[in-house]
Amino acid sequence: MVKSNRFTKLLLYIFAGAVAVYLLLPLLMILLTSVGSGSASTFPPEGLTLKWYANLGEQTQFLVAFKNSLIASTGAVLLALITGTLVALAIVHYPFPGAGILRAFFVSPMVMPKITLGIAYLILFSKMHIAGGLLALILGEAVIVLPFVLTLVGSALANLQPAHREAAADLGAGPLRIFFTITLPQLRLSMLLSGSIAFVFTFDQVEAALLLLRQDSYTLPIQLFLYMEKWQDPTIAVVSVVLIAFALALFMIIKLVLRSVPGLDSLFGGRKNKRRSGL
Amino acid sequence: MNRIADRIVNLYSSKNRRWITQLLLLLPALVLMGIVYLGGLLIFGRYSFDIYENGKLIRGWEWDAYRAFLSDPYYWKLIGTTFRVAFKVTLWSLLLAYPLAYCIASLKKPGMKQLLLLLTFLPLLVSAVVRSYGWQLLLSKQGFMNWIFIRLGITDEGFSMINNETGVIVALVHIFLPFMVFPILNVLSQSDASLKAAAQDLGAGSWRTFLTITLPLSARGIASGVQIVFTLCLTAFTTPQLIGGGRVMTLPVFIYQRTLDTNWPMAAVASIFLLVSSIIVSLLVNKGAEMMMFRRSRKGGQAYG
Repeated sequence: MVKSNRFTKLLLYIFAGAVAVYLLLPLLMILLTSVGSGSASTFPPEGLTLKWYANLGEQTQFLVAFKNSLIASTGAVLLALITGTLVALAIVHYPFPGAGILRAFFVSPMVMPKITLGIAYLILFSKMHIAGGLLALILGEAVIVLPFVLTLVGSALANLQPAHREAAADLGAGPLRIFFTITLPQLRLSMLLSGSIAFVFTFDQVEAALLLLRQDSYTLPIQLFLYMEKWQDPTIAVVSVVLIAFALALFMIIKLVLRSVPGLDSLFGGRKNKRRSGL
Repeated sequence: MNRIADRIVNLYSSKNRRWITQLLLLLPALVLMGIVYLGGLLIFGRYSFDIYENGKLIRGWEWDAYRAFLSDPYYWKLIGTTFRVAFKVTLWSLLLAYPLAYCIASLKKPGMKQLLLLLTFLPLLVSAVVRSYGWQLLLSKQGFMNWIFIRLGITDEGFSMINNETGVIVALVHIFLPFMVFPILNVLSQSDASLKAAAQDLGAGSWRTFLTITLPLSARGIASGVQIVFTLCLTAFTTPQLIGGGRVMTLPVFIYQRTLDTNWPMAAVASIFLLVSSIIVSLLVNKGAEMMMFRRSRKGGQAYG
């Protein structure tokens, strides 16, 4: 019996390894294409070259698009963080009848098909005469990422010790002072976490932005999307490699931040296990 | 006049302070959501009652677009494709995700565990457009997959895997797999290891332990994974558009194209249909998971009684 158990375990590992290869394959393929000298979609590439990377310097539209993406994502995330944290505060600390329904309404963009939202935004912002620019996109995407902030910050707020706030109130602190000196510092982590998730999410948004933006305000995914529909040259591979590196760096930063906070990194299978195996 | 002034002063009394605080806290989000979200959707929904004729919109309160959408077999084919793709992608993700999650949960070496977790969740950080591009490279006629297939002697001239459903499904599974792994991994790593040990002490083999203990305990995770992946697939746009190359017509792709021809009524009706069906699917999956758990607990009770 022990033998068959080992055998199934081995099979399981092989399977997991195969799935991991499947998950990595497209990213590796992009990496290979970015240094291949042939046309994009032929395998194996004829030779190695860095000319596509050199070529990237001339493709200024991607740099502009990257800047637009940063502006739009940062704006949307900040707007969602501010409005979402205020709502979470109202719902958790000052509960009122109908708060549940209101919460459901604020979370509902999560289930809304994004393409529907994109088209609704197009019509609305055209009527408001702000369609085409980044402001419209910031407003639209803030709605899409508000649910992340509301859920994460809301649950962090619900877990806070009321004793801290009561002690501050007893010592004569007003509600604003209590918020800035007691509540907000304790929410730092969940705001950072929901902010990062929201940032990654908006950075990748195609649907909400595709119809809404003008050529000079294209974000990076939109520029790539339209470039891919028209051309297939390895320049996209190069841009993609840069994006993958960006994602990796972001992942490392998030992981470092999480590691500095006890308790949370067990979620990623970190410290706890290490200590146990060390014993 | 005095009365109104009194009222305004009263507003700031301590009795009302709580109420005002609430309003001030809610106001920014209410303005944003009210105008951008609710306003946008209402205006868009209003268009579903207009009439679209020869490239022109006519204002009205008619059910024409709804009637056309529900009676024409073309649209039912579209709905069929959308649901078929979503179903296949969900099934494949489940088949790939469960063993992967099980493997991650059972790994004891933290290094290996970290590596597999990283490999599973790294693609999530990479744009769907970029990943679709990767699959386009892999699946194209002269691409890597066909190169392998030809080497292995499976085919002589290569399969066409792009601009059809196969390609869309392969790429969508890749994009949504992490969303299936995470909830399953969550329940698997939370479930009590002593239950498994007890079953094995009582003489159950590893397969029996898996089928009677581990699998039923992870039903919740499977249900939420299925729910997330299925609804994400129903509304997926980028990958079907890029890999399908306009030849795999799903509802989101259709909605996008109708918007390009400014056929707002049809785009709106299709959007409403898409929204309603993803809500119904979510409710059904939840109901199904609840019923599964309920039946199990009743069975257990009967066995003891």
